[in-house]
Amino acid sequence: MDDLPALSPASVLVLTSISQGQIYGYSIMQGTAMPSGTVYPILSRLEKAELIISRWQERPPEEKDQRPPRKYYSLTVKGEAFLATENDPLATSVQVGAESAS
Amino acid sequence: MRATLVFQRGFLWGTACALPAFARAEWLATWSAEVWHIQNGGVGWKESWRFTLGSVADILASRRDHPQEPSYLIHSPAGCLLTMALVNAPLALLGLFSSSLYRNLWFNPLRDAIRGRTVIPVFNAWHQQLYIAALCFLIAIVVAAASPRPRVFSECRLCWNMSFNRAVLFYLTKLLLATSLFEYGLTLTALLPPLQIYGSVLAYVCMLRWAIRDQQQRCPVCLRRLTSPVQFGHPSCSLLDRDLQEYVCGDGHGVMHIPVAPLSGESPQAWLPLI
Repeated sequence: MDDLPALSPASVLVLTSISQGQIYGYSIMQGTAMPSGTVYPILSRLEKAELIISRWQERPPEEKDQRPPRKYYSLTVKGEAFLATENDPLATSVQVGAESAS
Repeated sequence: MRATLVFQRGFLWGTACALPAFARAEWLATWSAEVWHIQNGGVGWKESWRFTLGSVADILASRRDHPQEPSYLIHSPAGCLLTMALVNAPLALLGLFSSSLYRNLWFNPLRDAIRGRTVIPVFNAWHQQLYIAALCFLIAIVVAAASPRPRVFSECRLCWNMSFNRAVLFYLTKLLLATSLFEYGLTLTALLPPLQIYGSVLAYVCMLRWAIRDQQQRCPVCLRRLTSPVQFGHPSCSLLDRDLQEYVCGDGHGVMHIPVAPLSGESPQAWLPLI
């Protein structure tokens, strides 16, 4: 657990939003009530920290419309581990205890 | 709706120019697709523009996370001065041409019409130009006196001082060339007072800022632009985990640490010599 990065509350909110099934930028904005100028830099940093992974929307070849593919985000194993730690009350209390002891 | 989408895509294209080239295509595809889906999802134009304007914050964050490599035109000090001189040359010719044109116009029967149309008459504008140029030169000298001198972990003070003198000379030459660009800009916009005052002064301030940033990112020994920028630290941990960019000299002279947000009371950058 030592290699997990320290994240801001907004980043944790975005991570939680992705884990709840909001997988593209605008839905994450709606889920977190944060503007696009906050959400997209957080997504870039989470991707750089390997907590999430992005992929382009797959479209069947028979679709002839001009709809551009969206970018979808999903949690990595590391991201799931981070959220599990973040949501674990025991881990949180241990962390708080360690911080107050130091 | 279609017109809004076209404007929004144009806006995204324009802002994407500020991104590093390697990240531009993917960034543009991500944002354009999202804007298209928002527009076609029945969202109002205000909401869709609010989303699009957020791209500016994303661009700024990306630029901070991916510091850019310098252009090869300004990599070496000679190349940098040559490029600035080459930009100066056509502007000087244009400035001479336009100033002679303005003089002819002034002695022409049309002068009354010009005087009526322009807020600043040409001869007064010349005086004002000289005044502003002198003021700018003064600012340049003051800025030069406060030239960023990095902390150095070296024992060779004599070599360091010689290199520092070269750096100051190069810095002053750059500022002089920037000032002359400003002067030509003033001459060229003599008949457009708002553009002359606001546009030229803004451009001059931008050029000065560029000159300072350029000087910060040069090797103090060979004066070449430092390369391979790497981001360290975290913006929210400015005390214990300093937010800084590390550059390395291509010739192996050393490593420069430049804080993104310098703290007061401390040298803005630190140079670690490797040779």
